[in-house]
Amino acid sequence: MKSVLYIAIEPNPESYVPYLLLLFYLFILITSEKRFRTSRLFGLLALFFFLRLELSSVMGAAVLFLSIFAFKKKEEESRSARKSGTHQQKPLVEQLKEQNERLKKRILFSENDFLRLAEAVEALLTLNPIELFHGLTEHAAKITAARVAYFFQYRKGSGNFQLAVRYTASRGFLPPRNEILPDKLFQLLVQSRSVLTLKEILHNEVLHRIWQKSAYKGFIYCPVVEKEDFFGILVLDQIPLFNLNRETVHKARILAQIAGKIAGIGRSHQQLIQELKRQEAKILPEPQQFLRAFALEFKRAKRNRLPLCLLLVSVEQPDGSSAELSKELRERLKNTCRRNLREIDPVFSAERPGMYWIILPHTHFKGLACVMERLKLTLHLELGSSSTLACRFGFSFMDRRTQKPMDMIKECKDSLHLHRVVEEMLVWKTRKDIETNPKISSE
Amino acid sequence: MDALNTLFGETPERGWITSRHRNGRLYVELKDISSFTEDTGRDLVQLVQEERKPLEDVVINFESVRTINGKGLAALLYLSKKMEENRRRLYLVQVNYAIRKILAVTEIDQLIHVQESDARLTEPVQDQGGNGSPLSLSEDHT
Repeated sequence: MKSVLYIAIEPNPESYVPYLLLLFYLFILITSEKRFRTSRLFGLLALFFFLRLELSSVMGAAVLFLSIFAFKKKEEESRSARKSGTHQQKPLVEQLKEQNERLKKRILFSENDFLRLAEAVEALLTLNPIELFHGLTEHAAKITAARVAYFFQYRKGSGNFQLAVRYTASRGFLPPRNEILPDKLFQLLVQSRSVLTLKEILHNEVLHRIWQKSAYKGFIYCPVVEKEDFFGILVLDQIPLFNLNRETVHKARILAQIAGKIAGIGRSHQQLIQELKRQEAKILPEPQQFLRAFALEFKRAKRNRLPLCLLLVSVEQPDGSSAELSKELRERLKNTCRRNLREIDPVFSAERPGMYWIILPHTHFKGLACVMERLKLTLHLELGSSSTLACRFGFSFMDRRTQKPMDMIKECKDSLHLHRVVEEMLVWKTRKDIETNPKISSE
Repeated sequence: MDALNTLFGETPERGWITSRHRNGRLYVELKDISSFTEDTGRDLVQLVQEERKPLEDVVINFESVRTINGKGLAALLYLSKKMEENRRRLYLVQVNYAIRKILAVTEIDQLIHVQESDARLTEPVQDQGGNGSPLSLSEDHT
């Protein structure tokens, strides 16, 4: 700056008045308000102009004082105008615009923040623990601006942790390595059950030492806890330092708390369903159990394109009415069916006593025919030769046209009815034969 | 094809079911039908009712059939009953082992005459209807 001034002014060493003037003017320029600086700069340039034309320093000083006086006056005017409220319109509008911009930014930021939180909460509203922990890791990373986030699932039995979710801001979800961590820091968190931040770690020597030894060093550690259940730890890593503040930690804590609560609800929901299933198995009558089991087998067979057959065995009166069978006999018949089947073929009592549903998974038509033949033989043996009861069969098998489990059940019932009709026809035929040929009856 | 039809008295093809008259019988062949269902049964009944001349037995070749469902059995039973009313007979030939078992368990084999898979090994079926000559299956497939 000095060199520039030297060149511009070419000062006379004998006269230091211009220097003083220049310094004084520069002092005014620096201390003056921003909006007057431009005009004063013009004054300074005018001074240079005069000095370069080698006018007397007195003249230069006079011009300078005049300009200072003029500017001072102008400044006072503007001050008085501001006090009286008749301030110039342009700066006010600009100010308002600036204020507007600032407000806009603040609103937009808060809106984004709210939306992000809403998205995060929406992702957490699931009873599936896998989805829940994935959602928590992803959205916690987004909200806290963490570049990397992990979720370590707690294994209650062994007390170890397993890396369940790995998320990075750049690459999204990564397949978690199947590693089990007996991490000391994590064990401490199981004890404390509170959020741990980098600040706390750095202020505590012992913690810092443990943190340094940890395989997964993070900036924020949030345990996901609900009452006595410890589900895991959310680790947020590589958070930008300007973002690593109390508010960020608070947000991460809230998310972990919500996830903990939902995981708790999910766990109790699962327990409830299991209990319900257990109770249902006790309470539900066998026909209902059959419907449920068959629907499951049907789904499985349809999905995997596996063969499936269904058999309806009925021990009944020759006219098709229900036989009065003792409980013992019914059990014996059921056990006979079971003995002649594989372990995977379930037998259920049907609506009528002496009627049994048999599901034959992974069984083709040939197998069905063999089973029918074998069962007919053994059931006849079980009933005894003197028994007047009839043993009839209904069958169905899955083919391309079968759409619902009920199709197969209906077909099974229809073919059982057909068997009854066939026997009726045989009786009728025998009678007719006897009528036409009396020799048969005498024989 | 027309010449062959004329020679064997074969009717024009009806989808996958073909029929021909020979020795006073209607021979029905199920071409590429692996599953005998109600649709096949319905078509078969329709064809037999249209094609069968009075006092004629019906022989159905089951060579290609691998499975049969309840409604298919019902169709066969219906056909058999209709023919029984006219004192004629229904024969199933070249029936596979599994289907024969099913027919035996459901006792339909007592109403319909079922022959083993290889027809050439079977004994000629004696006609009991009255008019037709004895059914020689070996003759039909040579």
